[in-house]
Amino acid sequence: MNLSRNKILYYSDLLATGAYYLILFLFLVFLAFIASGYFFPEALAPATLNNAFNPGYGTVGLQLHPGVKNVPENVFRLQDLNGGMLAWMILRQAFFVWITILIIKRVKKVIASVKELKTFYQENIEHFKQIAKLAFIGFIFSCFNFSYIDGDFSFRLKIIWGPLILSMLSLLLTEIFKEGKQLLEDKNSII
Amino acid sequence: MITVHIDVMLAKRKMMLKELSAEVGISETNLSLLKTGKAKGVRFNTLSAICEALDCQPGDILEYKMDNTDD
Repeated sequence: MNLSRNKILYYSDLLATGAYYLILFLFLVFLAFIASGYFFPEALAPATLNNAFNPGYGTVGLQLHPGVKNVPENVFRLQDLNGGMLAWMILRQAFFVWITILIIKRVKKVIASVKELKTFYQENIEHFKQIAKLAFIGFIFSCFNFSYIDGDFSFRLKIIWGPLILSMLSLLLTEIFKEGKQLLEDKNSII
Repeated sequence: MITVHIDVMLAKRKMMLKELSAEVGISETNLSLLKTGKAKGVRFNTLSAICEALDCQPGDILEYKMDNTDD
């Protein structure tokens, strides 16, 4: 089967590849921006973080407000963060980037296996199981966050449905592919 | 359980498995699986081709035997 003839698979593969590089690129830009603050502290002055310490799947809500001196409540100025909180924010971001990249890699492997006419094989069952595990780990870590800024500690908890739904769907696909593998084996053993 | 008597029919017709394989168009491996009862099923067209090649009826190849398992 020619992958390019199946447009859904073709575009899914393209989208997965695009997402893979876009996520890496955006994370590197984010790191470069933070690192630039070490050499040019004034560069961070107009930057605020709307979601950096809220529960969620990795988004920090980085915004630039040139010329604005007063920022709304619950919005953090990047330049006000201490080293520890900055490290926590970067580590949390890196963790979600890593999880997402691992998931995308597995998805790409599943698409490639369909291209090779090896859809209902053990490898794909393992891929979906791993995606379910990774998404569930993502779900656990996305549900909480904390901040400790100017002596004020705050812990936040919220259920983030996206990764949980992805995990459940992947688990469902694991079972569907197990069933498919069994049917394929039955079909192949009929002469 | 179903037992397969391809080997008996092959002996009666003085035919080799290789010849049957060539005539029916099924690999020797698959015919061996069928002969040893390891296959889960047999398609009607396969059965038909085997019957044609061996000049016999499906009942000459397949036999149902009651399972004698003590539960």
